[in-house]
Amino acid sequence: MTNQERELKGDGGLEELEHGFRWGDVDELLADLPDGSDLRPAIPALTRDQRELIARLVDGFADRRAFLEWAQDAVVLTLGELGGSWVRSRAFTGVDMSVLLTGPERAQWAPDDDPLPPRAAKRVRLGVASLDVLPACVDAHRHLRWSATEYTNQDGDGEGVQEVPDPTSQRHPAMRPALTEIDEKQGWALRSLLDGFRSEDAVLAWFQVLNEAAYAEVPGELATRVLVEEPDTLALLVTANGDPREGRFFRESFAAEYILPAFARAAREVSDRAGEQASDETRTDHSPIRYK
Amino acid sequence: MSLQGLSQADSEAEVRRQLEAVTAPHESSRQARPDAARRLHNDGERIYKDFNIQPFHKYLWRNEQRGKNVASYPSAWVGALLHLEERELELLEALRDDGVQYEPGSPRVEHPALEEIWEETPLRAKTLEWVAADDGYRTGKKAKGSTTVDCFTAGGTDLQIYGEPGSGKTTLAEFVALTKQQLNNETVIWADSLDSSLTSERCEWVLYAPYTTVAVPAHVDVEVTVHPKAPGVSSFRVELEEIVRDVLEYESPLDLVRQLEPGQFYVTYPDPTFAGCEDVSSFAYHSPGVVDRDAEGAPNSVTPPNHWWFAFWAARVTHDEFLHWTTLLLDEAGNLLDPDASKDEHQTYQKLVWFMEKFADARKKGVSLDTMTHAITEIHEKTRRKQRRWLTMNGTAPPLGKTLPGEKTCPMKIDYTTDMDKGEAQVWTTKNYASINWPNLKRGVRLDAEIDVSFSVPGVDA
Repeated sequence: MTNQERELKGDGGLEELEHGFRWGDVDELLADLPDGSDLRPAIPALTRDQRELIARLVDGFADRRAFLEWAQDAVVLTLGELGGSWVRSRAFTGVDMSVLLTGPERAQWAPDDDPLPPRAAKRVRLGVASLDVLPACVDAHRHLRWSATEYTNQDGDGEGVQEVPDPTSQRHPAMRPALTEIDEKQGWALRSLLDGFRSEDAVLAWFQVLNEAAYAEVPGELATRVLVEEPDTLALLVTANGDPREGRFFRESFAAEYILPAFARAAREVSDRAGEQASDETRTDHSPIRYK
Repeated sequence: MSLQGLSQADSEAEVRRQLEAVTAPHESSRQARPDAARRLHNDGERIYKDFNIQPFHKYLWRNEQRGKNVASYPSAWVGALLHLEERELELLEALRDDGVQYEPGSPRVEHPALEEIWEETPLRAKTLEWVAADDGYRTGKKAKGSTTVDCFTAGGTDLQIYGEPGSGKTTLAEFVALTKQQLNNETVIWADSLDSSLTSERCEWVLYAPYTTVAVPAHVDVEVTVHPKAPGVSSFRVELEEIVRDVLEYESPLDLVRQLEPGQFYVTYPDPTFAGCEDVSSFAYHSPGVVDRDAEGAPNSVTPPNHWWFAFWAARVTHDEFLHWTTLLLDEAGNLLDPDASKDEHQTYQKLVWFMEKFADARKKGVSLDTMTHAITEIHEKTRRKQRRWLTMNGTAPPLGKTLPGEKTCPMKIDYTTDMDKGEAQVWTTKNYASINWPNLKRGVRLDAEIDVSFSVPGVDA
């Protein structure tokens, strides 16, 4: 991850960085939550995922690529409320990058090559989380709150409540498999782009998958521009003949400019229509044992 | 099994050998010898052993250990298979309050009140022991005051099984039959269907043949043809008696009811001449002999043979000639309970309405109706209103969020069944549901052939 000192928590919980998210304090606070059952488990399931998202932001990112990969997770987990323009602004603003990044790169981004000391940088990241990311999370919840399924008691003949899915072990964001589907495709598309392509044909094929990952939110003419009209762009995407220094930077910028905003729109569209499905990671499924 | 057994039978002699092995009758049960003086076991106590599967109460207990909802929400599946009389419900409540224990390791029951049942039907007694052995912590999320016996109502039940071809409905039907025979010593009637040429193609009950009585109308000719699968081997005829344990001939629906035995499995074919139908059912049944397109006042078309089942329903439900637990297994139920039924010259719609009005009586008389269709909507809406239990097969989505006829909805919020494998399904009432499975029934014998049964009415063109 980063080259900072690490302290592992004594009980083997999430790692705490020296200038990162204080999981220990957070867990202690949350341990006190009332123990009732969650009638709409999709909501606390999303909260859990969003908490980790915020923690990663507060921890900071090794490099710009790591930030973009986080941003892809963020647009899905905020159901598109943290949008493309926010990501784009952060990725292109020097002082923002110098604060969000914790690796050696941060110096290059900072004004006068003089980045903030780590502790101050962390405080700024906390500010970013609360000013920008948290409201996006709240907006996501506002969209989710009434479409999240309520698993109510069966009243009447008193046979008791059917199992309410456990929010702490759900696989899908907000318990919507459709979001896992686009999350996985988007993650793949982003990584492929940032890694660079071996040929134009690969770029062409990638655009097709991109269309699925972004639910057709990427404008159609982007592919034409890249493959036909702008040979310089294409040259920086294809790394088979060598990857100049600016290639990596270019691909990251390309992602921030065109791809991530489309991903955010897609997440928004999908979450509005997605169906809910419980899938406990621990797989307490109902399937009876084999009838032998 | 030798390698010889792995290759397909490729001569008539080999197929005949297989046929003999597959259909060798089980002769030592009470159902095989109803007149035997001494006490014999029931078919239901043997069939499951023949298929090498565990008794149902063991399956329930093992699933209960793992908190599976087939055991913790028994009204879904257990309620579909185990039938109880009112006095038995009272007995079970008393046993429960007495703190009866279910002992998984022993086939015997401990409590004296169950001994008598155990003498007659040991597996039923053991299952009742499981039902009663509930201290309030089995069902649901430890909902106090709600126990397994509370999930039952007395009398017969209904179940609509629906799913695509290939999902394993036939095996499931066989499993339901053998389990009901095991638990209730139930008389199971498999309503085999005849097409318009009065043929039942590719009979699916052949593995069950050692325990099967085929019931056929008395004055109709039957032909059984064996079609070997191997190319180049021609089809050949056999006698019906050769391939099942018993053949029963009935003169009328009431005559069939009078001949029924408790605990017996019947593959039953309807009578295309409708002999005796108008005695029990006051609707129109036009047999081939009376149809004449040109004569005035005569019916124009022959009543479909399936209508015979309406008359059988009347005979079993409205005449108290046989009151033992009876299940009617109706495949392709949409052919009988047709959503497009009309008030035609066969009074199809009227028969259907009457059939459903008798549903409550049927339950009280210990009759259960298990129907099988491809889609849930394949049965007439009037019938669907009365439905209380459904089974969604693997590969089919349940009607989440949809209102079913009779203002009913399914209790699930999530689709479990679409991704299920063959041999799995979900059973549900309007209140509760359970994921279930059943074994792939194999007996270590194989038949590399298909069997057709066809009928012809003497004196009438086929």
